[in-house]
Amino acid sequence: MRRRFGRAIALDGLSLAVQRGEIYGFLGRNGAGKTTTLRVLTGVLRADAGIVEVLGQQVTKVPVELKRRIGSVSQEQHFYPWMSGRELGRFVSGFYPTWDGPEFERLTKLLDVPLDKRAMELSGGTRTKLGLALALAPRPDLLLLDEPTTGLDPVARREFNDLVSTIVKERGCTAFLSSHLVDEVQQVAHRVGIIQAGMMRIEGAVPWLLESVKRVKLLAPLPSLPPGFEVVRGDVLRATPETWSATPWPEGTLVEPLTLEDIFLAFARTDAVATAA
Amino acid sequence: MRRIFFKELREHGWVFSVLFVLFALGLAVSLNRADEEGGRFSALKDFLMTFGLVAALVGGNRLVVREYTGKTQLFLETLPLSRTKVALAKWVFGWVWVSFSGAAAWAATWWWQTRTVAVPLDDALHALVPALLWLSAFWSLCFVAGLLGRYRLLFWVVFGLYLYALDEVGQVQVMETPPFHIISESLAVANAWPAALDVVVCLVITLVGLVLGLVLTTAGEGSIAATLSGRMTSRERIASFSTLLVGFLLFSALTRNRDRPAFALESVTPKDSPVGPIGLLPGEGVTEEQGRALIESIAVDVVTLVQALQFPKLAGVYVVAQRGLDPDVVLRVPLGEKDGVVFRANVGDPRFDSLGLRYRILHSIISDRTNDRALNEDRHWLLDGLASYWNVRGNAEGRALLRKRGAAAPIGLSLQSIARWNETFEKAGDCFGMGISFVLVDALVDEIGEEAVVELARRVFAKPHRNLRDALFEEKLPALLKEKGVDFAKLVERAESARRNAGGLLGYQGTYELLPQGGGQTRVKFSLSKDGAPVTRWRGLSASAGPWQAGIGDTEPARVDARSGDAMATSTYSSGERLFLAIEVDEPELKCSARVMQEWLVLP
Repeated sequence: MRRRFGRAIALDGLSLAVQRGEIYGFLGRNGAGKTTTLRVLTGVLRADAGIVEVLGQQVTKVPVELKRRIGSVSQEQHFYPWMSGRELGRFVSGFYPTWDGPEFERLTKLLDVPLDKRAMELSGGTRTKLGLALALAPRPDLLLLDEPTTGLDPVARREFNDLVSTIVKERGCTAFLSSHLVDEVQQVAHRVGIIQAGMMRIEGAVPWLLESVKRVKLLAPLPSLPPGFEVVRGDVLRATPETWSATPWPEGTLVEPLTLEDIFLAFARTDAVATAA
Repeated sequence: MRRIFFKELREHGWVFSVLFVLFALGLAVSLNRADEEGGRFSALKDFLMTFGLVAALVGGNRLVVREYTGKTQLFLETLPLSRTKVALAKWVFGWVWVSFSGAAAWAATWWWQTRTVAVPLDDALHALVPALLWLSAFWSLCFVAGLLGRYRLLFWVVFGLYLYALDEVGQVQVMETPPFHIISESLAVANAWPAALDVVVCLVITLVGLVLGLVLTTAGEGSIAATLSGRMTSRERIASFSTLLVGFLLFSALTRNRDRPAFALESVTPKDSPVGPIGLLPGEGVTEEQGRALIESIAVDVVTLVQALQFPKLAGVYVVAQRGLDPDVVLRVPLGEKDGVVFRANVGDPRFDSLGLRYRILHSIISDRTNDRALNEDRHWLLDGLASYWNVRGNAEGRALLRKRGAAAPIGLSLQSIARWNETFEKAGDCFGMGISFVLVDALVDEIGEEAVVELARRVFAKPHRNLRDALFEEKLPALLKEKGVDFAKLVERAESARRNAGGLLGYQGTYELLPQGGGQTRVKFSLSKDGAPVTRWRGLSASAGPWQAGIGDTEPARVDARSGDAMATSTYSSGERLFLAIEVDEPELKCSARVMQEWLVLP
């Protein structure tokens, strides 16, 4: 996908695939292109170039029928402030033939959302939880979550993420979770993609990522980089897990595993792009 | 679509309900006022020009603008809902709202009118159809304007400037051009279907507005003007501001250089004169000598009066000679204060009453300068008297003529007639009214001297109201008279006796007869004789008035020019109507059109 806003390039040949039934963690710094990607997926924006398939259907503009199979929660909930949670449920239910009223009641109870209070009277965190309940009640096949837990306290964040994990496991639906909070992504995502400057830097399951990117500390410089390795940033190298285990390093070399956060920092920092290039 | 419709009802219902109540109150006031204006649906016309526009503007703001300024459009975006449906639901909701308001106003106006006159459904529909067409067109315009996002205010400014420029620069009567023409007088009278062109223009605006609205909603990205909803960039702000500034400059340059009629004759007024130019646009039949004499006499009247009453500088006084007007008719041209006082009169006619014109000029200057305070009943006699008196100061012939007019008046001076001065003057008409008011002020001048009268007038008329306190505690004429030592009752008695001694009634006998025509309709037959013999050249005037209308005011009565002793009024009147009837005759001895009969009555 490519997408520009005037002179600014938001998506620069981004390519990714999300498998059915998985939670895909989409990591990136602010302005990396996460929200643009999600807005293209929900049909609010169109890609300038590239092919976008959602739930197996190629789309340039997401049709209403397809939107009925998607639930989305964003960072801020722009509900009608005068509507109560119950009224919102009633209003939204009319647009989804698959709306599950009892499930909505159950979810709001589970998330401790008071249904009789108006949206303007709810805290930001409670509004987000109400947004999740509204997104899950129609039993969507795809859940698009755009930094939904930003601003939530740790307990609420944990509740939110646990519910997403449970629902995905129970229903077999797919979740696409955009975030810059590495720990929460690591906690719930089956696979993770790291985006920087509109490009996918690395993508894979969390254990695979931890096996693929490591820090190497050498006692003396090597004449050349061993085959199959790529410098990510400074002394952080990237290779397949097999290449890592098959490569003999000189004596005294220290190969340190990294955390997902270290990997994210190595890929997401701006100078990393130049170093990698 | 149904969900969106009910959402809008739930969200905006209370605002529209409050507005509806306000509209009802406003309409009630309009209905009361309309009784005085004539035109069965003039209240509906007023409603459409004011509350109708407010309904559409508020509708556009609530239904469209709020959706993106409140960012709730971002919530709608996440729902499986097409933008076309959202926009269509909003348009339909807004249309129902404005149409319902308009239809309710129409029904209320119709019901109100049917209490006093029969208004058949066909006639009432003549008012409903244009009302709905107008409201639909304006609603569509508001809908599109709302969808223009951050450019919406710019749109309204440009729209307002366009209308103003059309009127001021283009000299186009906006209310006479479609679509505005559809709610002009023809709607108020409700006697015909709207003109085809007006209907077509309204329908085109409605449809184009709807289509343009849908295009704005669906084209591009984001729902409901999302792409336009942000704030203006600094570049856009500068561009808009510069464009408007250039527009204003161009506009002011164009209006300043607007051609003014060539006032061929202008009085020579000194540089420090308190009055601007005094000019005459001569017409056919006006000699230069005649014109020069008229403007010089006007210049003397105006300059001395403005100096005496210490009024601020006056922009100018202009007279446009117009053949075809009755010689006793003097019409003021409705222009702003910066254009000066402008009158039209048939100056070239041999029967032209120059005293009448000069009286009207001074009268207008004083009432303008006092913001019409001079027309209050307690001091109106002084205004009329001073305007008459000032013209003939030092002019024995003129004074004698006004005394004669006063003496011939069918209504005398008494404390009662002065207390109800507006009614008295109307009964007398301009010619006799000038006469009796002159007699009264002349008597006052005799008693306290001209200087004291001018000082009195200055205090009553000239003191400007700088604030509310001035307005509340202004000096009252009766108190000032007492302060000058004037016993008003005795003054009136003296004036009345002087009036009686100056001559007598003209001997005219004016009567009317009501002739029932069936179906509750009545025609009026006027008759006029003098000393028992029928008079052959005179005029019968008739007009219908509302129950609360105190005087005929600016209403132009229907007129029949008689060529024999009898004449039938041109209009037919319905049972229960309040009628004003009068007979006027050109009286060569008084050099004016004398009102020899005047009556108010309610038709049985």
